[in-house]
Amino acid sequence: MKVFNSMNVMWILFRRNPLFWILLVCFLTYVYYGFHFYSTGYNFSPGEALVRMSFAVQGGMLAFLFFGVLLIRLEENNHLHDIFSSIPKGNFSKFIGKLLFFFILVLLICLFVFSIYVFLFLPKGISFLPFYYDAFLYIVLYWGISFFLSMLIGALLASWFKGKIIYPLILFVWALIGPANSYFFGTAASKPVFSDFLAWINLGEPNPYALFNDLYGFELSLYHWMKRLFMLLCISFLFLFTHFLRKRGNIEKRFYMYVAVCIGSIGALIYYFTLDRQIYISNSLLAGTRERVDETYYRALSHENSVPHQVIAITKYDVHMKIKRLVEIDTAITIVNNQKQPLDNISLSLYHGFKVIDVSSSHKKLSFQQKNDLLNIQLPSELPPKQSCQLSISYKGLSSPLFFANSRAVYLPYYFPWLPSSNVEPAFQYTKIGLIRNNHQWGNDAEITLTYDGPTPLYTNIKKVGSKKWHGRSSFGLSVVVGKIAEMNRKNDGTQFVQPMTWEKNMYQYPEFKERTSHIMETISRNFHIPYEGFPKLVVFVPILSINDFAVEEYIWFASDHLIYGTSLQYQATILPQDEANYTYMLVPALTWKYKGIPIKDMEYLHLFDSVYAYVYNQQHGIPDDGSFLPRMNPIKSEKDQIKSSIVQWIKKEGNVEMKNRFCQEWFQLIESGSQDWNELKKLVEQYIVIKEDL
Amino acid sequence: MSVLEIRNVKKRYKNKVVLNNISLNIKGTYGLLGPNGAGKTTLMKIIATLLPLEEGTITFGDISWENDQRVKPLIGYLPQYFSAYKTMKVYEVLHHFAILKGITNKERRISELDAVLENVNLYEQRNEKIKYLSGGMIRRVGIAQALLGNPKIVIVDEPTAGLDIQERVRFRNLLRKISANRTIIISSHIVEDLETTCDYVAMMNKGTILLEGSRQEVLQIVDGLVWEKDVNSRDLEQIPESQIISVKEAGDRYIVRMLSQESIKEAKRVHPTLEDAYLYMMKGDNH
Repeated sequence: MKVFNSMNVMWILFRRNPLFWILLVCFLTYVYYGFHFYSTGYNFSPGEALVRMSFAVQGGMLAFLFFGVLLIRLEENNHLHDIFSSIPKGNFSKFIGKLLFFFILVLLICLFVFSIYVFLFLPKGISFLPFYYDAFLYIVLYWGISFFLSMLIGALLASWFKGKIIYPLILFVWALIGPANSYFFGTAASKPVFSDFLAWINLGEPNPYALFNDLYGFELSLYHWMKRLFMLLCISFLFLFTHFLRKRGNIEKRFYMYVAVCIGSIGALIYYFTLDRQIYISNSLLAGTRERVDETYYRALSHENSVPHQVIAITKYDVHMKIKRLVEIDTAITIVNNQKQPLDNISLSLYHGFKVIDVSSSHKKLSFQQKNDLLNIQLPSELPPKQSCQLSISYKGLSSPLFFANSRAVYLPYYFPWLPSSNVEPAFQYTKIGLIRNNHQWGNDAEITLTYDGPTPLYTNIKKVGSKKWHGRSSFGLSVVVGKIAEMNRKNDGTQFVQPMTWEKNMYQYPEFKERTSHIMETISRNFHIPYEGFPKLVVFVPILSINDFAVEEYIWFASDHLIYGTSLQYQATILPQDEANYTYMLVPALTWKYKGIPIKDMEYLHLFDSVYAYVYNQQHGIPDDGSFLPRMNPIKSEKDQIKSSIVQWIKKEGNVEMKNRFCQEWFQLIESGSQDWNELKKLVEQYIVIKEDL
Repeated sequence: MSVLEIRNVKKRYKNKVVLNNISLNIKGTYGLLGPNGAGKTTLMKIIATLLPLEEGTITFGDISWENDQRVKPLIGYLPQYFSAYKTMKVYEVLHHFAILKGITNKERRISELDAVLENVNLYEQRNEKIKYLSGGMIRRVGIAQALLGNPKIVIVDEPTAGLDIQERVRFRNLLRKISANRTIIISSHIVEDLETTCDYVAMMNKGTILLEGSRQEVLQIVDGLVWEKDVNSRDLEQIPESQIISVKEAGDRYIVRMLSQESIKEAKRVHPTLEDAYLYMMKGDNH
């Protein structure tokens, strides 16, 4: 009763203060118009609406820092502190009552903000409840808890510093702990140690300058909750310590118990923070930003080109995958020796973030060596041609930041070596146009069994056969996707169309998407004699690009049983790009050399093929294409440039579409034969056009 | 009624002794008189459990100050400076104090609040906001909160500080009124505050007790030593400063009140007051 009455007194004091109402109304008005901006027109983005509201959070934190000062100074200013101290549990009841008041105030603010959010987005076609649940958690974590912690920090500082010095101090702390902290500290914020510190101490949105990732959803990892718990414990400890200094010699035994619990918990959390984990970091000021980690790694690796030659196939995967803090995988694989010589060791590709713990065969441990993305295993005995053997490989670790796998979201597609693959290449390669993803499709049919323990719901290209169990076959690989995505195609047309819950509005484009994709598939199948197994049963349309957004080869990954259609991070993703011609450019590489599993020897060469054929297709089908996706050749510095220039000039001329089509067919045959050689291309070109020799 | 027994209480701030071996027997309406810095407020805060008792003992009946959780319910405290939440009404403030003091029964709380408001003569103002009250009224709100829960010991530190003469008189009367059946400790450096309200008085200076006793006992210290003389301005200059207690103007002459062991020529012996005793003690202690 004492606590509730103290809380009620705070409410009386606040409600009779006009400033409180002015602040509240201004805050909610700002929030309303902020959300409104992102709920209409081209700016429509339910995710951005929350992520982009750092200044509201920053403003709220300032108000609550001052409320914290008020919490301490209220009784001091009214000379009531001594009176409450003379009443049994008087000050304690007051303190807890005030904390409870601010807690409820914070909760009500969260509910108000959430209500505005729902009010603006629900009528706009965002209907998935799990998304709203996450939005509420986001508001609690990055608004509510931040406000409450700010209030506690303000109170702590006010209990240490008397007089007006508290106000500049509060402003400094505010600049330090808010989501816009790097903005306040200007160029100093770009210094590595300081930028890491600012990122850590930031109580608001952890990636305030990054676009919202609709696949990953809000960054609500346990780490961010623990970080705030850690701060809460530190503040509590400092309060207890202050109490100890003031009441020295008059401390109850219970006090020491609280201190012990506090210190123990702080210690446990410090240990927790030292553990490896994957969180979503997209902040150009930080070395650990997801856009840079693999780029740095593979740039350093770019000179190491030795890829072992072997002809093996993995025909069976039995995968037990657990995704908690780390990705833990136990997999049993069946390897077949498809070469003419016996094998005594094999090489598999596996992303270097996964550390192999154990390799065994028939319960016998095998020696292995893991270097970068290559895993070399010494077989127990020579494996004769056409014979198979079974291996068990256990590994755990962190996936690539570009192929995240944590308790929030999982994006492990077939073309990324998250499972040991006989397609031995690094996961990425660094080229002139930056970091590109290598294609690790298997190239042979394999039976797959997946047992999965991790975030759900899981979308994959094999069938669910039981609780947490999937089974099927694929000749491309296994894709596992989890996140803020949902199946949206309710027409039951044989295709499971999965995309972020926040993109629901774009479903009106789905029929056109399916029609255009089918048409391109048919044409390419006919032209290049590639037999597809019909329209894929699973289409995953997700924002997977944070790198090389201009490389059309990165957008679509087409496997016989599923299609991964990627897009860059953007506000309101439409299924089909606004520029109709662009879609062809994205689909051509996916349906041709990527589908055939042709390794990239010269990306420039393959890119030329992609763009030339896409242009020809558009020409052939009357799709407006100004050729802006074709390579620009000014100035011409090499013979390669000359070849490219000649092709582009010829292609752009009106007419002769059939001939151009034939040229592309022959060119693809060259590629299929393993050639990515410019001289051979030159010979082909010379059969169709005359290359000018005036370089 | 139990006596609040203080024995050999010492208090240091860093290396400075603020209270030196204080022993008192506090009962009835008890005045603690001393100049600023004498240690009165420190002693009051120790009694009110706001400062820890580091050395010595304090007991009230069978209750010892070693366990302050048992002591707190006995205490009603009005500090030297008192205000309350300015935007709250008198009744709301007192209601809050009543709940904090553990008066959880609604009916009892209402009747006690009404009684206290009547007692301090604020019933009419119960719905006024604190910010609209005069200094004297706020002081009365302070005493009202101290009386809530019917504490056995009420501690009032510098009760009339900052009040005008009328309010002082009214507040002293109030203290008199509430003194029945409880121990009231009043600390002040203003002698009139205690003269009109206290049955017992202790005088303090520099952290030590100079004198303790009933008002009559205290007055006896200076009985026969206080003189009054009607002088002109030239004669006034001849009187040693150390003898003078007070000088009152009477037209073009002065009535001088003096302390002296020996009879003073042309002066008449007068009945001593508490102020005479206080000044006598202070002079003795300072010399």
